[in-house]
Amino acid sequence: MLQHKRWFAGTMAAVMALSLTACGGGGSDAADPGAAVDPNQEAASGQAELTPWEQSSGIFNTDETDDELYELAKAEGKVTLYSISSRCTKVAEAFNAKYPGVVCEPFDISTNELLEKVTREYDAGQHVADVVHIKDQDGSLYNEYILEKKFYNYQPAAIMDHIDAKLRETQTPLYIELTQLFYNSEANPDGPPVTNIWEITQPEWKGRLMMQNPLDNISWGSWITGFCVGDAPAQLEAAYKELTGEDLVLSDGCENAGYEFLKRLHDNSPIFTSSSDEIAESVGTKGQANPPIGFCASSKLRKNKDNDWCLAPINLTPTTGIPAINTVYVVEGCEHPNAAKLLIRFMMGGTDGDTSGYDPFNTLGGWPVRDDIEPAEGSTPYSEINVSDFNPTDIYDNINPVRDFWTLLG
Amino acid sequence: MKPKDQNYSKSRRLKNQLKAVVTNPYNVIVLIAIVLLTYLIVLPLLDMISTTFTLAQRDVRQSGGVAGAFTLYYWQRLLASNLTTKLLVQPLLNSLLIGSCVSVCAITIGSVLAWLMVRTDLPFKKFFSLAVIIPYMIPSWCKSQAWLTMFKTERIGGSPGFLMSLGINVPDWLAYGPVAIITVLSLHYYAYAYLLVSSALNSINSELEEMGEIQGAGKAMILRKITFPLVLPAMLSAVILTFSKAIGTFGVINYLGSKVNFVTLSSQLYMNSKSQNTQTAFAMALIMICIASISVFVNQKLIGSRKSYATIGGKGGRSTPIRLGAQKPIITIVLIAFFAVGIIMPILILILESFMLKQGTYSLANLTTYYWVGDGSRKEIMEGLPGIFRNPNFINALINSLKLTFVNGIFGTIFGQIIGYICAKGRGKLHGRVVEQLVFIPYLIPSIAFGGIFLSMFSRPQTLFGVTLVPSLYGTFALLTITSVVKHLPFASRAGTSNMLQIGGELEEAAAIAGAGFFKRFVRIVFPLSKGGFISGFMLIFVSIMKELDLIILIMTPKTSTLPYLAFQYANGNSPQASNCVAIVMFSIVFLVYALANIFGDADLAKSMGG
Repeated sequence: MLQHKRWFAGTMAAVMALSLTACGGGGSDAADPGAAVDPNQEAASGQAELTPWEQSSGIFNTDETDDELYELAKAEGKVTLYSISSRCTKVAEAFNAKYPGVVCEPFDISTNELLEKVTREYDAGQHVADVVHIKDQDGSLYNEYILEKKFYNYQPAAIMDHIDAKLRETQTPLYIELTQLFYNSEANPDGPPVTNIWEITQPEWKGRLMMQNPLDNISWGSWITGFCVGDAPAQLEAAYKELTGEDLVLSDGCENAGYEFLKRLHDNSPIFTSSSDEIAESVGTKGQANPPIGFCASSKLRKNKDNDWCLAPINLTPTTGIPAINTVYVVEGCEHPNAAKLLIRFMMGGTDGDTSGYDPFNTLGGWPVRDDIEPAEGSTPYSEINVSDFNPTDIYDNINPVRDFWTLLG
Repeated sequence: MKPKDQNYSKSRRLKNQLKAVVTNPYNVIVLIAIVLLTYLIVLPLLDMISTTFTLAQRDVRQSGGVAGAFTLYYWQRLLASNLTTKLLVQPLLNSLLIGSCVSVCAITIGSVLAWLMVRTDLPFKKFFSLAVIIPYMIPSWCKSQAWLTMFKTERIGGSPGFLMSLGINVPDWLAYGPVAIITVLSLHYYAYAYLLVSSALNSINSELEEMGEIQGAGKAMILRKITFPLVLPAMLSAVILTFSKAIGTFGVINYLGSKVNFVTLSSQLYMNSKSQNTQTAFAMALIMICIASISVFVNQKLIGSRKSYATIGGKGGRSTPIRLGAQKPIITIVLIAFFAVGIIMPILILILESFMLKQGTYSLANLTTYYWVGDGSRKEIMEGLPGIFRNPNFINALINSLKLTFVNGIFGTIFGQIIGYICAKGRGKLHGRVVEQLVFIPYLIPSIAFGGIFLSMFSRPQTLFGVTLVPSLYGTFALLTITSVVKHLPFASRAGTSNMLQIGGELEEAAAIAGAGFFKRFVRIVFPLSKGGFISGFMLIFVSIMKELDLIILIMTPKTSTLPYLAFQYANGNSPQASNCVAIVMFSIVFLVYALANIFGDADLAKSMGG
């Protein structure tokens, strides 16, 4: 700690000499990184003074009705949605049909480009996006956007009442997706060939497990990090004992059972592909004598019917990993805050029983977060799946060490 | 020019020299070019460099310190930590392996093809010269897909590969990894060599070769001693383009390499960028820029040591094809086989897949035109999106793409030729070298970084000492144009340089003596003589802007969609078939333009050479 402080003091001096702006921007966070307080909560509860935009947009008001917002939104005329899902076009169509006079312009763009674009536009004072639909995969949206007040959570009370408090602490959740292990149900008519997660590290599955390289992108990076934080390591340790009857012995450099699991997974030579689609095809194609198993996005289940595959998910013990939660945000300073709120309420399924804004997202392999909306037909109930809790700060703090750990494995 | 008369006083001579420098339009153009390039290329580069020395908010927790402060963390991590081997050294060696092998293969294929097309009496030339460029127009992922369809082994499950279903066991080293990557990339990038070398060959006066023949030299000797040295600059230009592109490419390497964990610097860069480790990704990009700069430098040394390559002289040019003789049928058959595998197969697979309701099911009942003209009524297909011709965005995207590619293609080519002119005339001089190096940098800046930096730069009005030079360009077509022209300048200027190097200085000098000013010389002499290279340059830019997505997606507004964006939307919406349809449309447009340019260009070129 002392060393840390000295380092800090030295850097501060350098920073002050170099630039005043950098000092002002970064100083408060670095002083005590462990105890980040959400400034939004203070503002929402009236303890802190609101910024002019917070005031004018009423972003912390949670009790407006659709009708009130619609009237205000009509004056704004339009709302721009940046979304990582191609289904945003469907949502926009439904929105435009329901709320004539307010035009929703959807923009379908992938995660990385979305963040780059919206951040650059924001920094340049171009307020284009009003609503952003993305996943907070590694906690950076919470830590770098919500806490920095670039994005806001808009949490209408009537809808939030139907969502598990754990899910909406740091984010406004829309729906949940998972990275699940899949097998070929045609070649394994008696059910999944593995159930305990440690089985995939055994020789039988050497070179026969497919996944994407965890270094490929942030969602796989977050997913492997999920095994190394929170309750996961302890659960993994217990599951190992249950499977083998022996205590787990950690290798050199492995801090906990999570790291050990990753090491053994890596040593079992999984085959990396460049996309989830490839994995789904490899595992799910019918007519294979000895098909591989593979981790991929749960949403690929939807392609089963289209492509005549026989993908089946495995409910791994002790955990199938952390969930990928789709979230929505209002961008700070946006010009159509009321239309943005109206759109978010609409996307979240509204309060009037009309869920046409939510339906496009409610498909096989995705789970609604609201307790009053039924999942798509054929879904395993979310509560029956072994999923780890998503803690944005844990993942945020550990993703880079875990990535480095995996890099060193080769 | 040395003064012949020694009576001039030194001061007067200096004054005259100074006057010549300032009033010479060439110098003014050089100056403007350097200022513009500095602004458009050096500033973004400096931005990248400073980013790699600035601690990001997200890394504060691992490294300590203050966000925004100066740091050596990223470079130290990359160059001198326990991660260095895995993060940098191995990938770098792999990159160099891929880059060198692809260059050698692609240049060989491209040059041989160019020589056959231009200088010999090969039959079906019209057909071949159209076909030869097609592989470059087909997206490279399409070729990797074709490769796997052919060679896929049991290792990765799924439907069996073609050879595997015949009972032939393909070894893994052939199916995946470096061999596969080098083959696919060579088949993709030989187009650079072909285009550049064939336009160089086109302008060679065959009298040069005939003189050799009269002196009793054999075909091989003529080729080695006369033809080869004359096209060397074009070949070296192609080496630079191919090498840098091969070390910078990502898609094919990830698709064919990941299965055997083969990682290059470009895939490391891409992975880091996708994991939002922007600083590390930038540092890797800078290393790649350095490698490319070295290759440009080596190229300058190689060409710089030879004085002149001017092949377009003042005398009338004539081109007599060389007879292939007994080898003619063999060469023809080999070429046809090459095109069948390299062109027809990937295209057929692409077209077939766009008509298949379910992927991988090869039966008549599975064929459908739904992805082309479906009305969106079948909710279970394409998540309810209509087929591409019924998609309301299609026409919009088509128009935007055409506008973008034509405007940028033309602007880019003009700038490229002007810069090529500067590089050629300034060869061996400082300003020529500087411009040549500068222009190459955007090539290796990752598209997303480049687009992002330009977005930031031009979203605010650009001012100098309080005077607004450029208004805020956010959301305008101008910004799209500037970004893609600068990003693709390396293509255009390479084509321009090797083109301009061939034009003999005496032509311009003659015109100057006759009283023609700089602009007149450029418009009346340099430009008409370089038309062939102009068209080659245009095609290179046209094709790659047509395919561009990452760069443009950052700059465009939700309303401006383009064809690659539409393809992305379909792929993102779980309908690769419709995405293939869009790819086919893009390919058709590019092909049509090329066919027109080829026919039109050939006719014109022949005229300008005096038949």
